[in-house]
Amino acid sequence: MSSRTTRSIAHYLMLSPFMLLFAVFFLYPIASGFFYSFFEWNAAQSSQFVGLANYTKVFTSRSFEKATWNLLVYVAITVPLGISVALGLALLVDSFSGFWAKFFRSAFFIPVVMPLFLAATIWRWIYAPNFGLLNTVLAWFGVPSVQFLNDTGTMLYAMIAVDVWVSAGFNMVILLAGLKNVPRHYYEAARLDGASKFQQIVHVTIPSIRPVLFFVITYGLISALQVFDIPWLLTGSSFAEYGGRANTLLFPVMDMMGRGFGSVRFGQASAYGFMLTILIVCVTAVMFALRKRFGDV
Amino acid sequence: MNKVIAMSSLQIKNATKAYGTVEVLNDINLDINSGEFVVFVGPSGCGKSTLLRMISGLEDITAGEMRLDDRVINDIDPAKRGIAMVFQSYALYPHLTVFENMAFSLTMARAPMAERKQKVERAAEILRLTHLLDRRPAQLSGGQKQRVAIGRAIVRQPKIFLFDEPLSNLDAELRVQMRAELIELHSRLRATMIYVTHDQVEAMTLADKIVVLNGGKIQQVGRPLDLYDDPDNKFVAGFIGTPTMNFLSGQVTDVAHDHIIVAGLGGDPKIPPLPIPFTGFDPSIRNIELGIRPEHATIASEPSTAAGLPARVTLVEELGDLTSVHTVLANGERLVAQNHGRRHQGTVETSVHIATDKALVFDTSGKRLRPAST
Repeated sequence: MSSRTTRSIAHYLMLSPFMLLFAVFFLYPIASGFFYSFFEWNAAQSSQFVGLANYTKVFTSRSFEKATWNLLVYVAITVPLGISVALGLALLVDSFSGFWAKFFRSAFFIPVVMPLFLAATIWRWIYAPNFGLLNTVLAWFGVPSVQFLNDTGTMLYAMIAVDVWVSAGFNMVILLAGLKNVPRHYYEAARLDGASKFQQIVHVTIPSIRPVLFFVITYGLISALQVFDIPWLLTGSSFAEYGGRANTLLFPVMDMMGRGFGSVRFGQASAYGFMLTILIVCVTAVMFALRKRFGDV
Repeated sequence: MNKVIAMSSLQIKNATKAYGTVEVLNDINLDINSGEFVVFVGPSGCGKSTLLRMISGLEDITAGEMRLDDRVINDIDPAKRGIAMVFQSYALYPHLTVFENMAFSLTMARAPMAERKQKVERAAEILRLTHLLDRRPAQLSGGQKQRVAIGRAIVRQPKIFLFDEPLSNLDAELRVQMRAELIELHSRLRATMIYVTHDQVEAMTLADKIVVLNGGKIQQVGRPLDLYDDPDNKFVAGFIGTPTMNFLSGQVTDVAHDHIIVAGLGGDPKIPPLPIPFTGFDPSIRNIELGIRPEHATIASEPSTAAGLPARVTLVEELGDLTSVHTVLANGERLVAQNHGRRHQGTVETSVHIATDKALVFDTSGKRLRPAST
């Protein structure tokens, strides 16, 4: 046996523990999920092959239609709004130095480290119809009480606000790292060239942090497509009751979980999960292609 | 060629810059005339870049006054001073093309595209950049990037050009080439230019006027050769010139009308006192330092001749037409002798002759003592 082959075997042996764990806990669930998507299975009885029936049932269901529409609206608002807020906070923190920079960075990051159920509890109180903080403030201005988490016209936007609040700190830290890498003399040259603060942000800052922005947008899209925890905690928080009034806060992952663990239709849940995976992979591929085209500076 | 650059003068009066209690520039007074090429030179941390940034408006002035064409500019926004700056790292935006980089100031001012095109193309023509206008900075060489940075400044039609060590990122060969291009550009534009460098060769070759700074203070202002031949103090004498000036300590033992007798040079008691031409020497001064340029020191062809300073050769730098011989004297002082057209014979123990008529005299505080007749 040549020394090269011996070396290769040693390398594979060293990699094998990880590969084994990766296969058992990552590849096997994906493969079995794909496999079960062609079966009708309720965990109590033996599974039955149904071909593409699960995909058809999911695709033609009203809940799928509602969840997909909700998701589209949610993604279209949350991703740009969340990143804009995070960028605004990052620019704010970047403009401070010393104690105040550390203070604001820590303050804005608190929602990220806060347990989600706690964040949801705080926001449930803020949104509460009678004694909630927001309605109390609105009452000062004579605005009648709003049922933020029960009015189908406000539920989605109320939930988006919570989501932006929770995620802004994380995106801010990443964008702030990008901002710190923009050479200061770019701004000095722009200042001498007569660029206003706003023009500096548009013409210098944003193009200079384009790779970081692409990462934040891609990560934001992937997270948004899998949205589950915040609407779950703001609505019924059980498989018996979720999605809120008129399914206004029903999203695909929630619908998938409901079909699996609520209605015990694991085949449909697997098909749902697989379709969602394909969607996320496609979106990510598009983002990578866009980054290759526009993101590298 | 149409006139593309206005000419302006700058006066700095008692300017001071402090960060908290730390004063980095102290009582700076300077007049820069219209069309002059002025170089600020000095070691790292001397305040030369800070002074340039104060002129640009990127740094505030703690005290004093700055006038551009008789208008006080202390509190005027950098963009409104009519000053353009070329940065050490070029500050070209990687996401913009050469054209877009050069047109940046006009884009910010929302100038019509026809005006942008006309001004950028004219600057590109001056700098031979026309064929590069569609490229991005990453596709340019160091010298081309530098020219684009200068082009961006030209497009603004500034009253004064500021250059902050613009050649320090280039390799030695390109630096020499760009230096020549800058001289040519200055003679074409006749613009007022202020240039910061720590490289005294750059200062000597580029400047109409050199401002030597050290420790936040102006040490001397003058034409390059005036500073070389007639420095005000030991710092300027040592900073200007390569290899640096030799300084030998000695004691004045006798003062005559037109010369002084200096003993103790090199620390060897066997060396006879040397007469140094000097008219009107203050007889109360005893300890001095003699400043001798390396080209005014010669290695003796015979070792240890009675007339020279005994020295031990520590290093020989053969540069072809020029040989620098580094020696150490009996008292540990170092002395470099530079010989044109002669090779060192390889002897270690030698003696060095100094041209006493070229020697400059400094007191122990480093101040130049000038003969009465000059």
